[in-house]
Amino acid sequence: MKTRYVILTVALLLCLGYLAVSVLGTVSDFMYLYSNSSYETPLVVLEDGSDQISTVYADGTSAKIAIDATGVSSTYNFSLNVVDYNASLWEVTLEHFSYTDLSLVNVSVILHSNSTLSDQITVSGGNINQTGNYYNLTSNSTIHLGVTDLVENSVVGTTVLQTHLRIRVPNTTTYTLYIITFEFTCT
Amino acid sequence: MKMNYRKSLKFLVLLVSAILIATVSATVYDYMYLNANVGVQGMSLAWVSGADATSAGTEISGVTASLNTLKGPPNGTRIYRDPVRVNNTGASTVTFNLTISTVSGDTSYLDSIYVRLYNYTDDVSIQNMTVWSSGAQGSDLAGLQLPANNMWRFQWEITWKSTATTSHSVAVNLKIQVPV
Repeated sequence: MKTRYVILTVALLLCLGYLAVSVLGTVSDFMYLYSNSSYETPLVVLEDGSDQISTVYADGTSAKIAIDATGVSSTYNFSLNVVDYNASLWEVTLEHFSYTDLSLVNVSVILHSNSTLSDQITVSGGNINQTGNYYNLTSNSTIHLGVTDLVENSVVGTTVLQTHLRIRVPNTTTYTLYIITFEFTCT
Repeated sequence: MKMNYRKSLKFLVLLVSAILIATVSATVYDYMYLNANVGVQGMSLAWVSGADATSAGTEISGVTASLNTLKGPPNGTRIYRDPVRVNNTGASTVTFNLTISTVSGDTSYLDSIYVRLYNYTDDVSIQNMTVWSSGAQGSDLAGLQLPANNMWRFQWEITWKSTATTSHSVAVNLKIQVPV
């Protein structure tokens, strides 16, 4: 009989404890963050350059540049066009985010408008450097992406360089990234 | 027909008594009382507009922040580095959970949405939240600890699929839960 009372008391205490924990555990303050994201027609688009070494993908927001590198230094000043079809001023820069077999080639990538230019990325001796300099893309204008001083280092293989073209409204930290892939093949 | 008034009177008294008893019984209650003083407790966390509040369409109303004009091109990634921040104005660290309440709308055209938390002062990465990726809603973040007098910025990254068009949009509702 005494054992029954003990069991009953313990069971009741457990139930009370569970209820207390449940009640205490559900007391919280809340804050809310709502967002609405919508599609935007690209205000800046990529287009094939006159050097005909590029492939521009759907919507003009990503592209690939493929070149066979040789032992003789070569330059492709009009590899890809960056076009602003709107009355907006933008700043653009090129930044790498991945690469393979950098040591196969030496090469530089620039942005230019025929009259001024901005060095962006340089690959040399297996090392890569990017300036991070922004270049102006004025309203309703076109600038060009150029591949300069491309030379292979006498080894068979392919260097793949993945970059982002960063496009921002001047003096803001809102920006858009387009993927541009470079493939330099050494045969 | 002869009427027995005495019996009728008795029956009437009995009937009235029954009605009275029934009425009184029905309106008998037991009462318990719960008195509470509800004070206004100031939350030490608060939303603050960031540097990209204009482009993101940030609006703050009490405990609710809304980013009304986030946009993104197809097959490219739009990044709002600093649309909104959360500030701990209190004297002690606040531990909270960041949860995804809903992701709704044209999600089949959405490639991904990421929210990355950074310390506003030194730009150190705190944690990344996948809101939407690979056709599915991401996971909540639990046990985030915002030190006293510190502020975190919420960086939003939006990528639409190449199949998206101008009619597509997605609504995301996040919630900060601060256990008391």
